[in-house]
Amino acid sequence: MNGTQIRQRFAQRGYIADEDFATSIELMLALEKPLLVEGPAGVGKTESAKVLADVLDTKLIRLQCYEGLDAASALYEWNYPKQLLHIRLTEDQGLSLAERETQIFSEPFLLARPLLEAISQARAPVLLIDEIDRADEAFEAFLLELLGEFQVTIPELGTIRAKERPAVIVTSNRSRELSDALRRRCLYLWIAYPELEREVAILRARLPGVNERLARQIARFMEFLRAQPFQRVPGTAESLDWALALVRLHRDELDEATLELTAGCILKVQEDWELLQTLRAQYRPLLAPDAGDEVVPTPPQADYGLGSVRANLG
Amino acid sequence: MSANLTAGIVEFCGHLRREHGFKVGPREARDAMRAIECVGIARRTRVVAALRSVCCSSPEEIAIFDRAFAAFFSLAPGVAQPRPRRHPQASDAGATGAPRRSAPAAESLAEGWELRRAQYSPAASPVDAVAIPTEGLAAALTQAQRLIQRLHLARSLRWKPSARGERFDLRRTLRAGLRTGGELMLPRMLDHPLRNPRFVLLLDGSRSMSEHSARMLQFAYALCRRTRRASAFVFSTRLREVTRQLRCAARNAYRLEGLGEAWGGGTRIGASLGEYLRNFSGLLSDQTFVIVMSDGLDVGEIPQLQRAMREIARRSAAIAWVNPHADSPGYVPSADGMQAALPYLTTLVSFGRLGALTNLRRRRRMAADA
Repeated sequence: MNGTQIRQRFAQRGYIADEDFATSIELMLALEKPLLVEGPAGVGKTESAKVLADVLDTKLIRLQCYEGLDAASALYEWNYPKQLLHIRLTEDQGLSLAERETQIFSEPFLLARPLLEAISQARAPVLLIDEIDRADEAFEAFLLELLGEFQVTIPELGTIRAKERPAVIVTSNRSRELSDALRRRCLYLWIAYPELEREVAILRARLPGVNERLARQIARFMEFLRAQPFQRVPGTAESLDWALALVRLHRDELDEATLELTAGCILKVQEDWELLQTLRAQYRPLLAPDAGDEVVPTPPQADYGLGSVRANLG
Repeated sequence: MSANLTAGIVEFCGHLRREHGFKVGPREARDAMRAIECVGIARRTRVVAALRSVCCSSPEEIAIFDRAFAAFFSLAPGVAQPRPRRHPQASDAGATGAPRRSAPAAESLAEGWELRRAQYSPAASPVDAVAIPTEGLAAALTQAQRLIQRLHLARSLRWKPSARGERFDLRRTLRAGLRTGGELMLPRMLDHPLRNPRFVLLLDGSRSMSEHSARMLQFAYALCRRTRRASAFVFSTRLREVTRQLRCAARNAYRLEGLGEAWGGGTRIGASLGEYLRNFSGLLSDQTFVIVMSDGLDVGEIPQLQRAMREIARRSAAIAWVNPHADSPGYVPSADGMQAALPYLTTLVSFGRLGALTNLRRRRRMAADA
């Protein structure tokens, strides 16, 4: 799949990608290396993996990272109750200790967690390691072997190599610096907030109910907001939420009253609300109806369909 | 792939490594060639995107990469230059809080005014580079080492084997049980280990602190050198991250460069901390130990400082304020800036008593003591 095809197929699924994104995905598939995706919250890092799985028509295996995540919940764990039971059941068979140990530390007693599952699939899945910065540094070390060699070493069993190399996407919100060792094993992609035109395209693709003019108004307003010193800068996810809210409220265009009614969709901190109040003079021109600028377009004919937002629309 | 192109890519990778400190070795060079093979050389933007994806590993590096690429392959202006990227530190001036779009004329004028006002403030004379004195650096490194090793503000959420833990560890008990023929006789336990905090250093680089800048920078250098869990920022009228520069300072003759308005000007603590919150607050968590080094003489708006301190306090484990005057006899934190910050501090110490920070144990605010 080349870059253009990747962009097309992502667009068909409501994910409007730019060239950098498409190139990174292309390289990730060609070089069989994991892709580390960073960027502000709500720009579609996690979504990119979901859509990729859909594009490749394969399974998505997701590992959500959190503090305290350890090998037992990410890689594998032994099935202790089963082992215990097995020991009891075979007590009087006269087996030696070594034989019993070999028995209970074999694959039937192994519980595969997401990472091990990802490398033991017959068909290469997409593995999403989400928000790796939430896990602690020690956990990164667990990942190195998997990301570098696509294999997992289990002391009792030996090394399990990937049957098919999964496409790995690692996301991070940069809440802490990742180790160089991890970064070196990955290709790197930074996803920024989309520029105006792309945001309009994203809104139109995910929410066919939004007309061009409203989408443009929203995108322009979001661009304005992202230049302001908010504590939580709204991302594309917020634009989509907001657009969906406006559609539900049957608004064809933005005005001040609607903005006040729906500001909770985009700004989620009290201080940010206060700041928005003080910016009224600046954003008012953005809400003024721009006659002549826009043409009311026909709804798109393409089947954009698989986005979660659209599913919500019924 | 032609030998010429291969040589060019290898050369460029070497250039990134030598001149810009990128971690680009033979493996990356090989990947870069495979990447070019994959995307072709028909379109420059694709080539740039491919190399960027292989060679870079942070948005800061992307900004450097774009400039280095343009310079190395000396693109004439006008032909498709690599598109400038939008990310927190992309702009040259380090104006991290600057609007990311082309502002209308009126707005940019107003901004110009604000900038000018800050520059012409009585104490303003921004210098661009500053050196870390090497004398006494060893002592600072030892001090930092001790702080990193001894300071534990909380317990981690991980479970680790421990003799006197509170949670039963079935896996290890079972394994130990094999030794006694499957009979579980030796219980094994788990406990939460103590957690090493992350450090965020906010250094006041204004002129009023110039006398103390040596110790301040040495401490920051030592901390960044000894742990990867530290990040450092300097501020005067603006804020600038210097973690990377500090970490590699030895290679650069112990000099920090390109500080611009973040060093040697007036003091706008509130605005600078606000800038920190906007651009880097991702680094704050309940395991972050924030150290502010400043004399608290703020010429900016006090309510702004108060807001910023409240927010930092809310989102961090503890805040220590290091004030060079704190141990002078008869010192009372009466400066407006100090007054505003005081309720949110865990401790207020002087440079002489930095060692005392290792004794901090738990979340405690000065307001609660009073």
